[in-house]
Amino acid sequence: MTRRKFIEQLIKAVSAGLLGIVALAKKAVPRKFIRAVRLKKYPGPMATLKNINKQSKWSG
Amino acid sequence: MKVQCDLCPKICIIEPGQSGECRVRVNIDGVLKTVVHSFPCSINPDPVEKKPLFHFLPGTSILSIATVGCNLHCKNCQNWEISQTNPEDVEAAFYPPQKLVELAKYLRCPSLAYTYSDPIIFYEYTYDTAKLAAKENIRSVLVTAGYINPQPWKHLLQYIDAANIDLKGMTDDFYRSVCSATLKPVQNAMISAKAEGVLVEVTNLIIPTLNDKPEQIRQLAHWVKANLGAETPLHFSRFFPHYKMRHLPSTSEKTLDMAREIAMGEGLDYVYIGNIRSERGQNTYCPSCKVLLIERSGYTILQNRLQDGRCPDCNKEIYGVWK
Repeated sequence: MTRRKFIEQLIKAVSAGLLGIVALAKKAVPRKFIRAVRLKKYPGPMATLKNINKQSKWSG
Repeated sequence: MKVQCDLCPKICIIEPGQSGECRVRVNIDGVLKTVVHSFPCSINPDPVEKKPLFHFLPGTSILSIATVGCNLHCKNCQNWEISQTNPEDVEAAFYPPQKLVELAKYLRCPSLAYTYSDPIIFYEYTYDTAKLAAKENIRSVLVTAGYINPQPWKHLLQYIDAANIDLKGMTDDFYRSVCSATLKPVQNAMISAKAEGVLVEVTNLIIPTLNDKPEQIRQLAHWVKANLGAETPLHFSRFFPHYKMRHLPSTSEKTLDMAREIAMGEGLDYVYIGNIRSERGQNTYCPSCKVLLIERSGYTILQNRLQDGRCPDCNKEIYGVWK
């Protein structure tokens, strides 16, 4: 093996190792939570809410 | 393109045009969208005691909102008509955060509750409203099952003053079979809420034959004391047959009294009984000198003897937000 060939193989091996480390590091860091985007149009029927000044019938 | 929702531990991978399990977080053209932001299906001023919160501004009215959807599917859900349905099938009104805060002021409510279904699934609406409300000196309260991932939870808690979090059972089996969820994320959410300085009250719905054994109640009370502190109020709530659990009877008063006795025996300072009239189970007593501090009948405060959040007799500081 020539010296040039040896250095080429060394660079390839080190590069592959570095890429592997970066990939593992990305997996190890938790994904950043991304907010959902607001949809401007409600998909259901729109109405004026009734009894807005009275106690709710729902639990909680 | 599929999208993944990181909001709750279900981490739904959502196909284009479909929603996550909660029914309201949708993949539209490869973008995760919330279809309920600013579209509540219910807005009502309730007594704060109805949440239930017994240690947070007693006797005040709290403007309570909900949208449709839920990330849990409890077979006993009391609000299943809004929690287990699609937004396409339920009427809603347009109430952006600013309008809600103005309404709270108009109705003289010192706080807003995100409740009825579960505020986790209308996360962005809750967050934006709570942030705005904080600027206007309106406080924010969550009534939730606490099934959320740590990162969004912590992000939201900075604008939250109080929370009533359900601890539905003490086993993963219970959570999986009754609620389609798991236990650990809920416990973690409770611990981090308390650590972030949020006033936390805990509710446990006692369902006959499923989580009403003395040992299960003792285990729950023990966990609350060990992880959230003896001062954390615990509410045992009465079950009524609902939704997919109409075959079970209501919880007896005797069982609720027994649960309260066990939890107090485990060293919890404030244990309450809910969804039922109870002579002693709705009142607050001083954990030090045992004197009556707050007397309640249903959601009504009959007397409040606290002075600056302290027992007037022995001067013990009582856990809560009192003004």
